[in-house]
Amino acid sequence: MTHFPGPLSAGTPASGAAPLLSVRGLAVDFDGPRKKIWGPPSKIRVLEDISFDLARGETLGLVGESGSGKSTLGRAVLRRLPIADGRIVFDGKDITHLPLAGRRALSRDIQMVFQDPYTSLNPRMKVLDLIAEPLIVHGIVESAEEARDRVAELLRLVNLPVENIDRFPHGFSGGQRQRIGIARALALRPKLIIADEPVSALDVSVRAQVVNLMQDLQAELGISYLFVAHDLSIVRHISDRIAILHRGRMVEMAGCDAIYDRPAHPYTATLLKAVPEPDPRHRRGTPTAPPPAPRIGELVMEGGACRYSKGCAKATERCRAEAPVMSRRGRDRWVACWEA
Amino acid sequence: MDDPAMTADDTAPILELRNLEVEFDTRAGTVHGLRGVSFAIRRGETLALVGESGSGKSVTASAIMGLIQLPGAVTGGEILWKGQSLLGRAGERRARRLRGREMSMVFQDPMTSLNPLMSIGSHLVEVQRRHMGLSRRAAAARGAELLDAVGITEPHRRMGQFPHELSGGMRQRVMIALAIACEPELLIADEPTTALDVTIQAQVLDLLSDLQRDMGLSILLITHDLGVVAGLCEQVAVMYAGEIVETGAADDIFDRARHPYTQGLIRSTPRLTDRSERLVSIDGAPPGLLHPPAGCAFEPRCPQSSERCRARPALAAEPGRQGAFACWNSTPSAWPEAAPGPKASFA
Repeated sequence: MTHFPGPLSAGTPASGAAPLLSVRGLAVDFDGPRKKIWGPPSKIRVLEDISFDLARGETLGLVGESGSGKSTLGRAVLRRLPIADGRIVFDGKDITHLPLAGRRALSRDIQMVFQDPYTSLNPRMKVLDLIAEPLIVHGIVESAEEARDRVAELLRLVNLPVENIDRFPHGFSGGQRQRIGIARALALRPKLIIADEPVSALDVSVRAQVVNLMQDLQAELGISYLFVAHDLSIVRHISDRIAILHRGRMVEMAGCDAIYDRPAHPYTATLLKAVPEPDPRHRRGTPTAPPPAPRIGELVMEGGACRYSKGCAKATERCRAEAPVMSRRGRDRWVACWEA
Repeated sequence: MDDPAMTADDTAPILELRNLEVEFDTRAGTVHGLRGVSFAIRRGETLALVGESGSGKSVTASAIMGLIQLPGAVTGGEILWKGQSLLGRAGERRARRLRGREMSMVFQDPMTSLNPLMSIGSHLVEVQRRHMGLSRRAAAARGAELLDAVGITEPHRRMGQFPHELSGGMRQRVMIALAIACEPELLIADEPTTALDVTIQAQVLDLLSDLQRDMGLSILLITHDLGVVAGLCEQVAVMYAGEIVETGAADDIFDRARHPYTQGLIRSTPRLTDRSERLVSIDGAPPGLLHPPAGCAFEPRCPQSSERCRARPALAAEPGRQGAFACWNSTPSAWPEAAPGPKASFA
């Protein structure tokens, strides 16, 4: 396990103050196939050596393709997964090893917004019950009726007409449902919201409504966001900094403009080139042969090499022999690449 | 199948939709899925059908492929393939011969559109035996060539593999190989890259563009992503609430869109080069098609609606310009120049 020297949140809105969330050398294992029928399952390391800080009121964009571990990282921070290695400090408390009761209490401060607003809301619960549920679970109110005023206030906060309070989710559009999901996440006044691709399932014209709402809420309530995305097209607008994940490792983390204007890691450059621009004269450059899709099993075997070395145009002998470590480049940029 | 390219003139459309209407009978009433859709595709042309969910893009594709099933039905209009109708009893007989052979389709989700119990080879052999009458052996040999053509490495080994052994991008390549197996003239691609990672999406789009150039294929690309449109298509048709609201050449649409909805869609598509913190959005939501509005369907969300918009505007060509749009009050820019500022404070 390597440790990062120096701060990981330079240039953020609240730099200087202690970060809200601090992750160091985080690793997560999943169970793989068993070698013997009754033997223990093998371990597959799906996240390895992840380190970052998140300041209060800051948004960190976590970007990676399928299989990169971006959702797993979100769930690990929520402490919904066993941690194999490393340390997570939230709001000054070490939450790496929490008993069940502690994890429950943690969910008052860390909430999640899910990708698919069509499946993440129980169709048999009214808006009132959906939004009041976290309040009941945490013993703040006895019944949904008791929370009616708070729910109405939350609906106003996410720009939904309060008359909707007794309706069921099926009558709402995708964007409205996602706002119900956000109201539900806000009910406990969390300090951190993990948003797992909150706009990927929405139409383009509605995405902006949800992203802008999230920004307004941040300005109003001072929440921090971990904003998970599968490409670089929308995160620029909401993130202060962006971290790029590739096959369970972080390959680059930098301020927004640095990522877009001067990508340092070859994979970041590939991701940027792959985003289709809505301009017929700006013809898409073909990304240089990205590596084949990751297979869970492959992650174990790769051992020492850089995981991007197979598809990387800049790869050298060193890349194939030794995994690069995150190192600091400039004031606010971290890169894991021997050649960058 | 007696008059291929011989008599067809190159400027005549190979596929034309005239005022196509599709309705779905539901318990709640009749849903008007398509409310008069007209467009044409010429040989070798790529037309993008752009719209948001529920706008009727996929219903249009299903209607062309004859995949509208009860409770849905085509209730009006025409689908013409090289001037001949594909509707009605005789038309449907004609259509059955064409589909899969002269026009084929790639679906959105490569995970569910291949049969998990059939090897990749069996898929390829089946389609060629059915439509081209090839022997099993000839079909297998050509199948491997097709896999090679869509950029799949080790095609002979892949023939024996099953769908679950391939990644999403690979599966979509197999779907494309299946779709071009019978050398169709028209390929309908319904959101072919939506389920894929961006880097894989770029590869699949390049593949489609290569195939189009090499085979002289016409492509009807259905997508919600204007970025994909810009990279691949020459012609664009924009759909909203079951109708076409604007058509034109891609360059014209991106530079000088005339319909406020098209303009709004372009404005709300994020660009990598855009540093602004606020994204622009179109407020509101599309109307339900159970009771479609009598007037312009976009009127409630439109920044410049007027009295006239209570009557439904028809798709009309603009003199001196290719393309058409359906709007009474079209201006070069219907939306305010600056992005809306931060919202007034919360209660």
